Amino acid sequence: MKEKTEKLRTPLFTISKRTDFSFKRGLLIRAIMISASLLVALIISLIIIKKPVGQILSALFRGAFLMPDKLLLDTCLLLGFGIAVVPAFRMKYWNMGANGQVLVSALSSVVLMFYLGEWGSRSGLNNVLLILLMFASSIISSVIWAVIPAIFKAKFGTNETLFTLMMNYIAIALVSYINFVMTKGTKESVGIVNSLHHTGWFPTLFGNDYMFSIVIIVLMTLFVTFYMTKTKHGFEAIVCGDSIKTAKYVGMNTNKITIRTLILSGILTGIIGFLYASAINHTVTEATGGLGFTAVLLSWLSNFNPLVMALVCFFLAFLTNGTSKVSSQFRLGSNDLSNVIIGLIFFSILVSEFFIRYKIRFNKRIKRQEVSE
Amino acid sequence: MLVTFLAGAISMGVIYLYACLGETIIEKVGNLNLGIPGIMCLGALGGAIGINLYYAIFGEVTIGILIVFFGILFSMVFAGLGGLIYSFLTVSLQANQNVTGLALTTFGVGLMKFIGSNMNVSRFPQASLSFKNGINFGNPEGFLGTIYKGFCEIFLSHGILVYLSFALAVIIFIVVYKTRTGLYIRAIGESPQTADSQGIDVRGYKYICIIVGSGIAGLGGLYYVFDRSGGTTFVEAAIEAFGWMSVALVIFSMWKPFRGALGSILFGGLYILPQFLPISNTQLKIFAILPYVVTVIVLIFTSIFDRKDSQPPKSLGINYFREER
Repeated sequence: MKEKTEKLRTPLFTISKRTDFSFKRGLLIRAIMISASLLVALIISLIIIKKPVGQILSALFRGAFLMPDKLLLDTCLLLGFGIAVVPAFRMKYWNMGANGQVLVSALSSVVLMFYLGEWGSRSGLNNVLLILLMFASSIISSVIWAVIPAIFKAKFGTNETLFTLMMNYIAIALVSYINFVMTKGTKESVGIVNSLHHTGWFPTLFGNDYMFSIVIIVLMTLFVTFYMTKTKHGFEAIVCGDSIKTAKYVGMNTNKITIRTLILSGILTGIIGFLYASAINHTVTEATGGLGFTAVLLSWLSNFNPLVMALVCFFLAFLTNGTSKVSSQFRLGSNDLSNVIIGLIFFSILVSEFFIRYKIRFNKRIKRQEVSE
Repeated sequence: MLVTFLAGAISMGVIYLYACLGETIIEKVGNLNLGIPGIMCLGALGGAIGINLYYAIFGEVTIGILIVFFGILFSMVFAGLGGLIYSFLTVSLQANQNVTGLALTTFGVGLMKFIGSNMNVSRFPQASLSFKNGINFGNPEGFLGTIYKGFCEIFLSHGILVYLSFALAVIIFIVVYKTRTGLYIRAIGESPQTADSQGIDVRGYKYICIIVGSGIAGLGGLYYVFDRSGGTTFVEAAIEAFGWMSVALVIFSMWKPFRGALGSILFGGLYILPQFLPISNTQLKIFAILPYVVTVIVLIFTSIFDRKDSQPPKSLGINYFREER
């Protein structure tokens, strides 16, 4: 230790916080970093796939735009997940449980669809009633799933990150158990429910199966944006997130705000779960809630800006659809190339955040000899 | 039956123990690494690559100790690289720790499944024999002999990675609580400002602890693939779930290695318990929630009875930026 203090050492560079933010600069840094990550992803896929670049890229683009409505739906679903976790995140409540919330709500809808399907098919009125019942049960179950960890967080300060993660796995186990029960222990999955008489299925819009879901999610996004920026509730959540001390000082009931915000989150994921069950998949499997983690990351890294989120979602949906084509065309055996790329993109955005927020100044090197003498 | 159960609990628990020990070291310097599941997957992937490399170099000749060495080395290197990414982003670039961890999990799990599903796995069951090799005990008779045999089966029938994990628990305890280095580490976790003002290299320690901790956590993935599951389930591995439970186990263990060792056996026991209960296949599905429910209960109880000696390191989850004093 002593030897070190005798020498005067200047660090190679000094880092300081930036006070000037330029939009153009930020965009440029992000663009460079994301392109770099895509390049790395391309190199990894070239090593594994061992095919010319042109073939891989053409498969990627063909796969992505093969079914435009699927691409749009995936974008919207991801956006829906992302927007559903925003209110909780604005108050720095790390809700990792979007997966579980969507799973239980889709599960409750599918169970109703399965057991009341015959009753619902008897008349048009019954069918409408069934859909309403499914909607209600989806919302309720999702809210329950979201609020349990919130209550413990508010009352005892229980770590919500791990609690909500465990709730995800409990939901997964429930889904596989109830699938087993519905098929009387014969199959892993119940399959598409009511595929004959379409009872409990949401009506199509403009002749497209997905259009209704897309419209609803766009409305959801608008609502959450309004809620967070224009209402008192949203403002309180943001204050709690920025400084819990300030919130308490000005007399906000932080526990109440936590629980209220998580009820909202539960309602939003409940809607998504209902859409999965009634309008999109008409079944429930363990993969139903799989978008939750990506949603958490993208909403954080888009700075909760709904427009940026929509763009990122489109890009990620493009990658997911495209890479799934790449995987099937080159017989890769697994569909996880998209996750590798998404991980790399998130890393690169994290790196670019640093260059946007901090300034690096290189110091002049002082020669060692001069100092030690 | 009881003997098989206890032996199974230990062998299952080791998966959690490695990850828990690794995460404990990382959290001791004040970084909450939610990338543990991804790091475990990277560890498993690294081990698989190392073992394939072994077979590429040595052909069909089986030298048990070298196989294990290749597995451990590459597993730690890959997992350590994951840790390097994490520490670079959070320590040097001040990125949010939760977000970085989650991104690392997405990346690690994806990379293992992507590369793993395009890999030659045919030799893994053979390689796993070298990992599983237990100590051969005699076959004594009589009442005492039965007890002796039971003892051996519970404690001595395991592969080398099991003993290594418990040895690591002891080593980590000694390093963290009985040496000067450990004191520095704990000081950084409690208050990096204070540590920095005392001339402790905060960033250096953080880097080393995160990388070493990640390397250790990666062994959990290696152990799961090549010992516990016998090299048969590589890509379908449920490593991600184990990773999250290990992070919970760190809280349960109150950041203490020995408690982590006991807790991991408990968690392991809970995981395999349903197989030992007289229940049908359908009921088995619902019993799968048991370990998660218990983890939740543990989380709740540790938060209700928060005692002074069971607190997380004070700066946990907060990045240290020197200019911000």
